Amino acid sequence: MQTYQDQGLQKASQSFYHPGLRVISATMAALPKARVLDLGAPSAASFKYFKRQNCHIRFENLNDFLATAIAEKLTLRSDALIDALDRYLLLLNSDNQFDVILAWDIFCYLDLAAIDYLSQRLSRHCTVGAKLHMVRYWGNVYPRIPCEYYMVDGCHAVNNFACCEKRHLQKLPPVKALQARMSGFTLSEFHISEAGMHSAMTDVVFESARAGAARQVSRAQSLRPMPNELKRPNATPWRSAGGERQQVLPAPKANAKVSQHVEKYYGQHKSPALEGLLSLRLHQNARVLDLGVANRINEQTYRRYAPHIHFADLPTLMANKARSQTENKVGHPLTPISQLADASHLAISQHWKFDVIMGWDILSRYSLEAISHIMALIKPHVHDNTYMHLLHYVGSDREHILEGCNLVAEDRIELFKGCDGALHHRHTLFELIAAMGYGSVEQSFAFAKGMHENYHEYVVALNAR
Amino acid sequence: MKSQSQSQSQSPSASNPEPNQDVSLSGGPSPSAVIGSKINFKGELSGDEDLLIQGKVEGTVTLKGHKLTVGKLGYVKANLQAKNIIVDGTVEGDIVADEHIAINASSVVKGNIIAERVTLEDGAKFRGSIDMDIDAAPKAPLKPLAAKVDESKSGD
Repeated sequence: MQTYQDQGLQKASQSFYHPGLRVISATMAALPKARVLDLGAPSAASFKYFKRQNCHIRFENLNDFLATAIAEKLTLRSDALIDALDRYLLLLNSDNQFDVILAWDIFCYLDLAAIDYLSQRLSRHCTVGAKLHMVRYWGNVYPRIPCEYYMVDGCHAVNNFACCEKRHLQKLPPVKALQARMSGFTLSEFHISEAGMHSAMTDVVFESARAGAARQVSRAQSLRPMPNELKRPNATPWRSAGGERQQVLPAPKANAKVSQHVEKYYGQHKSPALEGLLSLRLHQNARVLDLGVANRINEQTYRRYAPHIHFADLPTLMANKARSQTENKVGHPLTPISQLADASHLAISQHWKFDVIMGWDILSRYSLEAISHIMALIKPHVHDNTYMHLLHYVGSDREHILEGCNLVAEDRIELFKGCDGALHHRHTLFELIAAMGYGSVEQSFAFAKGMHENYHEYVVALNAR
Repeated sequence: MKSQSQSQSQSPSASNPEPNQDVSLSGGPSPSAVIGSKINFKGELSGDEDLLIQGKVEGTVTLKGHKLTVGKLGYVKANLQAKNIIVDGTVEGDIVADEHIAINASSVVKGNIIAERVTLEDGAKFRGSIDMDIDAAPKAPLKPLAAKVDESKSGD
């Protein structure tokens, strides 16, 4: 233990960006004397930061507990681990209420039953709307025992990840599975691979659902298998621009076959990405390129921010090319996009540079080669400060595409499901970004309040140089 | 220094120590009173001078207007109250100071801290809450730790 302490933070000096900590800092700043529970190892730097924020701080040091539990192989037996955790947390009285909980990577070292237990235990100590921040490792290799983290400012933290002894394990459950186990909390933010973030870490923020319907489950229940209804959350409440409360229609079962002729409306989607993208990136002479089909509703929304709007209608263009290729029966197989020799096929003037490109889910329908070609055609129309918006489908229906997206307000999208019968490629985000060739993820959003559960959103900074 | 205790003295140097190795471990100028490393003390300990604890103390320690130091060899299972408190050793219990509490790198502290100024060094094993809002601090005199634990048990 002492060796671990000694090896730790002295060697690690680089701080990493944690977008989720922004929410935490904002919460602390908004309250006169926010109460903070830090489950990680205490450090002078974190303490100084909290002191500057005039917070009441409590350190629980679950790092120590887990390091011992791992050494004693307690983590291999759920019941034993939960019992030990229960005893360890006895000092945390029921009257201790916190506005912010920093869990760091503690949850990465718990199995599902222990996650269930700890989330319920913590939810008892949350004030209404309290935030829980955690770090998740998404590679196969991560430290053997929890890392030490300390906050250096409102959105940066230093860690000793590099100095820790690593272990090889199967991947941690995805955030979606974690969400189902985090009773008492709803997923508020999920960040991955943004500029400045640690390459092995994702940032997740949960919000206490204490004000909502009570989801208190007994500890005995927490050890039972996950109920199916928790796997798929029901309709998500969503507030419209007019202020009235509406209900997002639940998405159909991901594996259900939906005919093209049945109801195509797929649900509402609150877009945290577009809200900032349109208002911040667009200006008096800004240009918007929408890769989708012309849509009057979208045009009206864009017009509030930018005078120049262009619809590329890429799906129709690609479908026509594919059709003509089949009819001509050329001797050698050509991918449809290879016939889009230049951007004139996209009807884009050679002088146009776009500030925002709306990619929707269109790129992910095509092969990685086709994506590279499309992005190469767009490249001359990109400047140093161009951003692209992507919707990324994470459901399991391979025939699923979006036939239409109505941007009814800057942060509100009506999704219409299409089905062209083809089995579409389901690229991971990293494959997609790699195929694009000159983009890097600037912001990522998943499972935020009001977002459609089957769609993640990304803002990609394009750099044509 | 007054004490209402069942002192289990194993060394004659309990209240008037000779300058020995234990004292130098505190790192600063020697305080006027030392509980040496071979002393076990149980009960309420109060006094009007600075104190260095290198032995084992259980109960409460109250030194109004003076400095209390828990040395590297010190093990204290008690609630502590003093003007300034420096911890280099192990403390299980709440720590309340009128001015300043220093939790140094070598210390192991399990309990809540209340003072106007608190410093926490990297490497300290600390578990508990830190409150620097002195208005919120309890004004009632501290109770022995054992009694406090019993009360909380009966409350359950």
